Amino acid sequence: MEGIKFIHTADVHLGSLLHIVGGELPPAVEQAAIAATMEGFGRVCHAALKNRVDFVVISGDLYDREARSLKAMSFFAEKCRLLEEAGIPVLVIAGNHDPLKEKQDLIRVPDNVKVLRGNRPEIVEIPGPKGNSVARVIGQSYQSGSLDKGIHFDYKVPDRELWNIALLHTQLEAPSSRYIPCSLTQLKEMPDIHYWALGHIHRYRSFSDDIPFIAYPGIPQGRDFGETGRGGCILAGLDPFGQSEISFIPLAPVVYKRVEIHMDDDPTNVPETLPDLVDRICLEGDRILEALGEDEDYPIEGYVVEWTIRGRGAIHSQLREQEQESLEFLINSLREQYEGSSPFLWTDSIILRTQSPIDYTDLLENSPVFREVDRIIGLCLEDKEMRGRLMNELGVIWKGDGDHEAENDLRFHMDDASLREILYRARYLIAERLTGKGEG
Amino acid sequence: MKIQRLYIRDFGILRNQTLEELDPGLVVIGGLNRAGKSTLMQVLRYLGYGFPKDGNLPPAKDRYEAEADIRLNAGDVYNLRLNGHGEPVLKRINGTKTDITSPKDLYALDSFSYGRLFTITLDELAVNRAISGDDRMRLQSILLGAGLREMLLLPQLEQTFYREGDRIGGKRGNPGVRQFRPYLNIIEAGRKLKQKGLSQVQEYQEKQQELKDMEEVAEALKKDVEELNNLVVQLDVIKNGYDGYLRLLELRTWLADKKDWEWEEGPTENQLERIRALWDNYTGVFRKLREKELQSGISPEQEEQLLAASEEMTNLLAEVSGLQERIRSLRQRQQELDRKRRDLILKVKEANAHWDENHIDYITCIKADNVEHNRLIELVNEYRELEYKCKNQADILQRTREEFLALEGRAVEFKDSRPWLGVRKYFYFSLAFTFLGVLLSLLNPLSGIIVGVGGIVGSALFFIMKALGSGASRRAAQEQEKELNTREARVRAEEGVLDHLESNLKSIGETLNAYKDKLGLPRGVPQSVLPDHLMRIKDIQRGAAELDWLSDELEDIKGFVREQYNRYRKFLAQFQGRNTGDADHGVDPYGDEDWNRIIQALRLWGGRLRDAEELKLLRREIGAIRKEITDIMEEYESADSPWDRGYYHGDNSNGFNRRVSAFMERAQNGIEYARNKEALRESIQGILVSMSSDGIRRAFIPDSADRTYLLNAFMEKCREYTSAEEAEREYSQKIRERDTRLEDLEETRESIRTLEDDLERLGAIENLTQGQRQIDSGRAELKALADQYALNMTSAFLLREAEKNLLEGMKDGVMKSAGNIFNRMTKGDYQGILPSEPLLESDFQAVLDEDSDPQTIGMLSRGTQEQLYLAVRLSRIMDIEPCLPIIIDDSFANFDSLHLHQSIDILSELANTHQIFILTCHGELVEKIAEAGHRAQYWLLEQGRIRASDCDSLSSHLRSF
Repeated sequence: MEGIKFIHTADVHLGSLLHIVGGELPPAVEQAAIAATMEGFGRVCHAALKNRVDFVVISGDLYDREARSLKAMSFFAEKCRLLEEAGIPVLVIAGNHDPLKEKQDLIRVPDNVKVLRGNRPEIVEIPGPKGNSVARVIGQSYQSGSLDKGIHFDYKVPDRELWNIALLHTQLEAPSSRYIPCSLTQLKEMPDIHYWALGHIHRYRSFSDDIPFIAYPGIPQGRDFGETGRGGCILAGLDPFGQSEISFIPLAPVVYKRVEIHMDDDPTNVPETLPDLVDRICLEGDRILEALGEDEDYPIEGYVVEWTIRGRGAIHSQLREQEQESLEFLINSLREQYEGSSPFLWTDSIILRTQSPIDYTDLLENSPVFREVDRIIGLCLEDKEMRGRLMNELGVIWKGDGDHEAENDLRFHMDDASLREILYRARYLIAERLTGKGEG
Repeated sequence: MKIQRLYIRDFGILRNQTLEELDPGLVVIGGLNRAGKSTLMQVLRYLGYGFPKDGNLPPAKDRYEAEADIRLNAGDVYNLRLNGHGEPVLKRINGTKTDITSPKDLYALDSFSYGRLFTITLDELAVNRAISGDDRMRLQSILLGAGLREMLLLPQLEQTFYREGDRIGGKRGNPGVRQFRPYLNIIEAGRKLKQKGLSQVQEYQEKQQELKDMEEVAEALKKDVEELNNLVVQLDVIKNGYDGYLRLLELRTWLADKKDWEWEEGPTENQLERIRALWDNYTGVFRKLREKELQSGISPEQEEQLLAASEEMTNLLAEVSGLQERIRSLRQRQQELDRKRRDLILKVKEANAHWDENHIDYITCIKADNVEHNRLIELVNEYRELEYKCKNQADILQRTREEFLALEGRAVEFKDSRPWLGVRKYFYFSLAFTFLGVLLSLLNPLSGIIVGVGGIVGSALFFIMKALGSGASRRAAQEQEKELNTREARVRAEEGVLDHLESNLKSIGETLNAYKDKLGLPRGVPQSVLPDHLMRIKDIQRGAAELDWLSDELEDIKGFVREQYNRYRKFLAQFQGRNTGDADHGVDPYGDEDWNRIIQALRLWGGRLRDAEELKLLRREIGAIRKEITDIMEEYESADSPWDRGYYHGDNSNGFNRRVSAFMERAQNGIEYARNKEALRESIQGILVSMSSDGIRRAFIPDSADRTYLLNAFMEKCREYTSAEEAEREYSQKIRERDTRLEDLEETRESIRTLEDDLERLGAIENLTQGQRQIDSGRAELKALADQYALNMTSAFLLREAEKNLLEGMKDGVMKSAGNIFNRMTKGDYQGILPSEPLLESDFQAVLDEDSDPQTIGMLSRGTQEQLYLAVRLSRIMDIEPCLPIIIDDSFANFDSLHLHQSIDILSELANTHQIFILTCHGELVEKIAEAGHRAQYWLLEQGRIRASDCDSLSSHLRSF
């Protein structure tokens, strides 16, 4: 076998818009909101050309049924044409967001693009530079918005004489079975597969350091605060002499970032006024921009930031009493502060989690009520039944469903972190009321 | 915690009452009605909290005041002091505990709970039916043993959170309700917009197919139009070029017929034109020569003679006008000489009337140049001036003499005036005034005296003044005499000046007379004419000299004229045949007549000379033209050419004429052939130029870029039509067809453009973008609300769960303990107590046995009810730390003997940990306590006075009424 190199990407959601809040956005942010997913894919193609890979695999959700635009299709065709000129084939499976049933090839894609079929797994052999085959790509597309069958069991290749790359769009190890239920063990036990190119999870994860590699490349460009951090793709190099390795190439032009600011970190310099607080936040903002490294190929064009302000200080009462006005002031000030900066730093939202001083230890010791509340919070976090009851209380708007894919625009997903946040805020709120500090 | 000492200074009926060394266990205080038991109970109830303002307390005489010493189990003693309605004041008496700093640290229970739990009266035991809803729930909570005050907050707090959540998102958190609703609308609108954007994709596909069909139609139409365009272009070229086509055919035929005319190396048209022009010139000049020969009439010899003398003839003719001018000038000079001579004679006579023309020589001899005119003028002027001065000096001398004589006369008058004449006059005046005074004194003595004295004094003054004046006159006479002497001297000086002037005048007069002699003037003429005379003499001398010079010049001119006259006559003689060269015999070389004759002859022969020269020139021109014609012809004539044969050669004119004519005819034919050949080429070129555009080229030879085929294609196409008109008709027909196709094509293209616009619009992502933006915006707002909703609902949930759990805990804990007490109190009649649902709003239930349904409060007797409540309270009291004093005010009235005994046993046991004040008016109760054998302290309360007592005394006191 000859060594091969390929790019593994997935969940491109080409043409999706970035979810950025803020009325009329500045041109740079607006442009990023519209074009970032495409730019992300463009960079994936650039990485393929730069690294002279043998082929590119896309493990589902190339498009998003919610944002499938002609512009995105043209862009895809255009980029694939560049890859075609370099002799790089592109192998694609459809995912739950762009199933074959809804496939609309309005823009003709170049001949180097191959979308694998949806009724059963399909194998495509990849020719090498000498004309002989160097790898097989096996995969099966989604035909509809879900696929609850373990199709990976049908991924059977004739031999190990070529590199066998399996494309699978799955929610690995998930309780839900709507997206190809399978486990890590099952994948590892499938014979003769050298690389499991997974898709569906929007964050980079690698489950193995050696053959068979099993990895999610994550989304090349995050679109909201559910996809924080820098997206990218995987450059995989399979070597017959045991030097195989995979590396993650970060290349997203826009980065979603949640930043927590503990305003009482420095007790000698706790913000007392809103401008003080803006300065404090700007320190963090400057740090983000200053920490930016030089990346000539894939520079970061901007950050979309959600600031969470925590800690105790005199400003708490003002923030509490005039929450809306304060938020408006803070957001506007920060947007003005970073107006025109390059890369841009766009304040998407600010979450106020400041507190008045409460002695929880004392409360836990002396208040059976608070002790009980604290105990129930623990139960809510740990006990499924208790958590279920709580989720029922939160109503329809908090779907509480762990299936992120089934989320719709009118409901919100309560993940563990959000639930923990809500419970702790409730705990704090109750403590305030019980101690009389939150009155008024 | 035990009350060790209690002092009540002023509280209702109780004043200055002290209970010392109170028992730490059971304290029985007996008293009849209105003895002050309830008053004492209230003091004990509010001891740790202060007297409330609205507690329906008995009035103080002056101001509420009480105090107590409290002893803790560890031995520390504190003093609690109450004053008015103020907070109790804590003071440590002894002990080391540092964590007790306020009454709340001793009574670590809220006032309500202490009052309801630790102060037990009959009313308290039936309180659940008597008190208001909130207090009832509060009490129920206390009795159930939950988190006391916090526990009571829970329902309210839970409801607050729940209501806030409900206000935000309703009970079910539906996105379509309450505050969620507006954002749902925004999101829905965004979704619709986005859906529209997504549905554009389908429409795009349909439009794309339509566009494809339209493009095919357009392509077909375009092809038709192109073909028709080609045809139109061909026909356009054919109809416009048909004449050219016909001309081309005509030329080709002519050239084929006249092939032998072709003279490839023959002369050009210009050259032929040149020969023709030369030939015309040649014949013209030749004819002119013959005519001139006849016209001039001069023989060839004369012609030669004339040409030989041409130069001199030319010179003579050229000089004629100058010579005539000299002759005219000669005559003018002669006239001028005569006139000047006459003028000079007149001047001589003007200078001196005695002179005439014969004195000219005499005058020219006068040496006038030696006399300076200016000097002469100066002398004359000087003479005149001296004459004038002499006259003036004579006048001055006369005036000076007259003035001297006048001054001399005035000097005699001064010598007659004398001073003493004044004294005498004074005497006469004094005498007269004296007399006048005497006369007046006769009339008036005073007046007489005044007049007399005044007159004498006044006269004296007058004459003194006058004497002073006559002194000045004497001094004036002396001055006058001095002046007289001066004037006399001056007369003598003026006389001297006059003599000197007259002497000078005489001297100059003599000099001027000498000049008169020199210039021929008589001495008698005035001196003033001398300068003018000198000037006339000089003028006459100049005129005489000029006459001499003019005479000489005139002689020179005459000599020249005469010489020329001879020269001309001699020149003409060679043509006229006779000698006219000597002018001395009978001719006037200066007269006009002779000269006119000579000049006329000269001009005649001058005209003949020009004829001879013209003839010479014509002959020369004929030769040159002939040579040029010959040179040109010989350039094209070759040896084998017929033009070269001798027939055409020779010097005679006829031969030359025939040669030239033949040459010109041949050249003309060759040129015409070449011209038609060129016309053919140009015609072809014209056709090709008219077809030079690529469009035309493509129309005729669509498959080839080689233009050599273009002419043939054109000729072929032209052959298809019999005339330009036929091509024109066909052209119009094809234009109409093409335009129809073009309209169809344009319509199709418009449809394509519309479709492309539609596709661009459909391909745009604005709807998707805007929709997504709306959704994001709505979701951001909705998320914030959902967050608040979740926070409130979670808080409510947590509180609800906590409350429920806490109350459930009471069932298992507090109710079990209370049940045991109740069981013991009823001596086993009842097994236990159960709370009923909802816990805080319901009473308790009594359990008879496991098989029976629990009995509600309403089903129980009053005694049993009170025993149940007492059991519940005692159960709670046992659980609460610290162990606060318990006050029981005649709460056993409805207990039968058995249950009273049981209750006293329970209290006695409780007294081991708690101080219990039992206030009673029943001697039986006192006795029962004693009978039970428990240690107790007895106090008697009577009319507000308290004193220590014992069981019997107290019992007797109470029973005595």
